[in-house]
Amino acid sequence: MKSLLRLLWRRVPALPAAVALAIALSLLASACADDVAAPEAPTPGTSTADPTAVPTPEPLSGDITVFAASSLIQAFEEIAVAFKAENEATRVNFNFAGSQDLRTQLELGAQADLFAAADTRQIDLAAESGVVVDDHEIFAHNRLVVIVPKANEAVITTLQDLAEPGIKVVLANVGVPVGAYSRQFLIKASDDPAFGPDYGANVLANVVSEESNVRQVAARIQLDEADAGIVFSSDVTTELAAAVTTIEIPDALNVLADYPIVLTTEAEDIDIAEAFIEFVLSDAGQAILVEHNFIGID
Amino acid sequence: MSATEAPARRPNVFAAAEVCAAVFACLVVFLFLCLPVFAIFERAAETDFFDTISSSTVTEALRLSLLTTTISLTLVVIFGTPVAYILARVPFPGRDIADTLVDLPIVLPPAVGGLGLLMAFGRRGIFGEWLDDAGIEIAFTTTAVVMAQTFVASPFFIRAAKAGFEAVPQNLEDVARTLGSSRSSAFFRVAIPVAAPSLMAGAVMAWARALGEFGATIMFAGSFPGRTQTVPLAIYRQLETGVEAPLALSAVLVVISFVVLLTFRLLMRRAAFTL
Repeated sequence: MKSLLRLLWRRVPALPAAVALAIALSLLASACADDVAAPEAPTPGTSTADPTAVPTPEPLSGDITVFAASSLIQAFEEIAVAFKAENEATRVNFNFAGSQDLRTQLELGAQADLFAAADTRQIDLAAESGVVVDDHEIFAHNRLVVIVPKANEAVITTLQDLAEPGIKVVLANVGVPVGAYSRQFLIKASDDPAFGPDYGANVLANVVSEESNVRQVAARIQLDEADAGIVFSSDVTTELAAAVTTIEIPDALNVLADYPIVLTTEAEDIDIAEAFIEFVLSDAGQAILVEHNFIGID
Repeated sequence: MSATEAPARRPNVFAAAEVCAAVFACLVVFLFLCLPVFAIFERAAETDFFDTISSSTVTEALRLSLLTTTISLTLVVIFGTPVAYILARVPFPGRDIADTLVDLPIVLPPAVGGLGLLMAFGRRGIFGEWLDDAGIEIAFTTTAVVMAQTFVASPFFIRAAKAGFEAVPQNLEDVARTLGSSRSSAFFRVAIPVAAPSLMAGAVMAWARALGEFGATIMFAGSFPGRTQTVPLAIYRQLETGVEAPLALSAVLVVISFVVLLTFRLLMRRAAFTL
């Protein structure tokens, strides 16, 4: 029961109010951090006089806010801990939600330094509306898997079973990266004689709920409220693996998701933000992502 | 309370200051309440409002919201009225506790209600397994939407109805009884008509709360266009792809709410005169 509550606490839909509160709190937190940093100010005040100096290993200080796709929760939290270990005077604040939610928040004026999304489409749209800079870095890849509850009362053992009438399928909505990738998989499968041309339509007819981010899809299956869902392989955390069975999607039908990270145009602490991107791309950062079932960039 | 004596003794400066303060407070409150509503219409007017409003996502959400809130309100009134009457009239041990329990959904965050409904009636819920065996599915259906709305809205009706019944003089009903009315006909022909304005007020509040319901619905019923995606869920969902449909839906919701509240107010005034 306790773990269930903890799970829902983390995975309940990100209500707009909660998001607003989170933004307000992170702004407040950054304001407080600035206050704390203020007494140390006098020395850096003089050092800014020589900006041409070779980047001496001057310790970074301050904090940044990273808007990151829901699928990155565990990996990015661990990366932030490792990043902080190297840069003690920094702090990384996160706002996790569906990439399309985060993009909308940025467009509506939310303050962030970095945006890490689960597909390039959201980054492109954000760049179009001028809230992020043009060049992004792909820092990881991901692939889709089907998850079914351990109890599996609907007896789903193959991908074809998803099209059986009466199965309750949960997908992310088409605006969410994983929702768009899921539909791409359905289209590919429908072209495959092993599935038949009606496969995609039949699976979509079984959809009972369209969620706003990938973790909500996972939560529905974890709670055994639905029979099957499509998530990223990195979403099958040890906690989730205890409650679900994974059905792999073969490479030929799978979709390789690109994870881009980009500076926002309103970024306040560009040095730290760039250092964070560098860290995510570094061996240490990549190792953490791979540990969390992402596919590294090579 | 001291309105009749105090102002006369005070110097005019204070009176002027009081007026200024009152006007200022009114301005602040009025602007604060009106600007967001104004902003919605101002922005909605910039979009292709009528194209958006006739799109299927918008009409489906409106249809679903009107359907579910109507059913929810009917359930709330049918089951809530006797409960309110009993709470108002019949003394029983633990009435304070019963009263508090009925009010609880007003204070609880809707997400708590949604989680509770899921734990009770979800597929793995306490009653869910039993319902599942009986072939009844609730989660992810329109029924779940109605249940979520009924859960959060019923206290608004019951509270108002209870206050209404409490205000009906007991001797009115007693007189009806001595004149040969049965208990139930005294209830229907005396208590209900006298308490009608309060019942109406409660019904409007409950309907408004059901119309705005979001948290419990998204947790318990999920979000699927035409089936469980009511207007508030559609606004939230559509904001992910653009601001036009949410603006159109919001504008329609504002108009419907305003018309309903105003109609209700005017009806109440007429009722007050005729009673």
